[in-house]
Amino acid sequence: MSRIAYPYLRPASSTVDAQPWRLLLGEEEVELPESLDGWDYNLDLRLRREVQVDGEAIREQCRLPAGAPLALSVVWYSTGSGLRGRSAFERLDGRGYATHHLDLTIAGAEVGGVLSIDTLLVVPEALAEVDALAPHRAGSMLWEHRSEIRLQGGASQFPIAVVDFGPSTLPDTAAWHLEVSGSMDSAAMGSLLLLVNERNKAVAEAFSRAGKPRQADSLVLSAVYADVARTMVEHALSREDFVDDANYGEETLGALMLDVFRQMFGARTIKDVRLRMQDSPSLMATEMQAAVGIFGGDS
Amino acid sequence: MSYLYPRLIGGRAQQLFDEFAAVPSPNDLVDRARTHDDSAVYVATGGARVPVEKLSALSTAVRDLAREHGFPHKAQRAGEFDVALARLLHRSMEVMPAEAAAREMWAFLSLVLLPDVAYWRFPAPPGDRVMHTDITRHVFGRLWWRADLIHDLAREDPYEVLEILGEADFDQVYSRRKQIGASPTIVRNLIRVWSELRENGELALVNDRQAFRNTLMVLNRVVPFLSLNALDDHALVGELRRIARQAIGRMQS
Repeated sequence: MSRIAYPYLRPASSTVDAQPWRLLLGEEEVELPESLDGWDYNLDLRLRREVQVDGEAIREQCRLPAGAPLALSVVWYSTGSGLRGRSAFERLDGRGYATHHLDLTIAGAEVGGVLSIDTLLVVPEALAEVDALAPHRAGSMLWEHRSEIRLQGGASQFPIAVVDFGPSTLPDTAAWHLEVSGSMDSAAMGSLLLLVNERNKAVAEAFSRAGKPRQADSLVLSAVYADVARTMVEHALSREDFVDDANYGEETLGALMLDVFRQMFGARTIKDVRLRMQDSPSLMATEMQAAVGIFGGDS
Repeated sequence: MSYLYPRLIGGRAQQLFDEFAAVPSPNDLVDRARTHDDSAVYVATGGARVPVEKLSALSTAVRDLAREHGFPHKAQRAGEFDVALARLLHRSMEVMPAEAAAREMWAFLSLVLLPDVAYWRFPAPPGDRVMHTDITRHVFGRLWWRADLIHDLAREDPYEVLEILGEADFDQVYSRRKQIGASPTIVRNLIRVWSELRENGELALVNDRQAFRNTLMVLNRVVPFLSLNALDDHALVGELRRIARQAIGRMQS
């Protein structure tokens, strides 16, 4: 979450202690992983966590009345669907220090891409006649913690489709193609699609074994990833709205492009790299190979 | 049951868009409508691919609705058609939001499955009405999303509030997609509050559309430090009412 100046008092972070989220997969329970390979829309996400809240200290530090209501709430946001929703809400009326068990389900049909899960301690209703600095409006956030899980594409940041290029408009002997569409403000997940030609056995098999690649597969995948990164940077640099002082929202195409750009070029400015690209495109291509560590980057 | 829909790749979408620009009447596109295109792909996410019979049934239902509203002649009561189409698409497509967020899927609908209806609703359309560039402008995609944001299964008619906000008001919600339009709960309750204020006569002395826009602006400002999504409906409605009255009050002072 971005840092903002809250117009009300907030308690010390030590007043809330949350255990990691646990993900329930059938009978198995695991700590929430970074990504969930093989997930699809039919799989709902069942999550549990414990949160210890020192209600008394929080009310005191925020100058709230002793019996002021507090609530734990869980709000998620999905980059795949672009939807936000609430999955848990537990009022903590009048309690002092206590452990709370959050147990929730997020419908698979509602989400996709990267799923952010925010656990929030909030003021659940508007409070009258409290200290002017106290958090008195409904929804005032006293504490928050964000967790993330990537649902689609495993380690990939966008969807992949293995298709036959033969009957399509794409050259039938090509091995892969990165579709990039939409403005810099559009969701990255909906703007990128990596197409892999099933006719090309080397690349199609490398992707089918991406979770456990052989050495030959790793080389192919490395070449694809390097080319995808280069295509993204070239696409970004070709756009007039990809500029140094732009402020792209989280999980947008612009933010992803900028992230890839920074990984490749560090602190160099977009303006500088764009000029360099115009003057020495072949040297830039080589620099990008080096930046992504193609074929392991051993020297 | 939910289905995966084919996504039309960009090069093919551009090719069809260029071809259709030369077609004089939407009626001439009826014969170009297909349930399949060689450049339409499914992503690797698991799930059932939409059966061709379902695509056929969908295109027939949309085409029938278009005929009721004047197809192939000039569209009559376009707003009414849009509301009816929003209901139809959302009820019958059985598509998940993450799939419906893929712009290429909508390009398949407008350029492959139903080009005749798409070009009838928006004759000589700019690219964003039929291509894969902007869902919030897309002839079909914008309507599915409008229905998805407001549908409420607790109501006898889940789509009852579709008619409360007009196209321009929804555009305002969409333009704040990340902060406000991402949350069906906020959108539904905001419409509920707006309807209530209208019935109470609290909007009588102000420009309704401007008041709605101002309310969204105030809402946008408070979202960083108030988590409205964290609230139950009762508290959320109370806070939205307060924000709307604040915006309306400023217009009157």
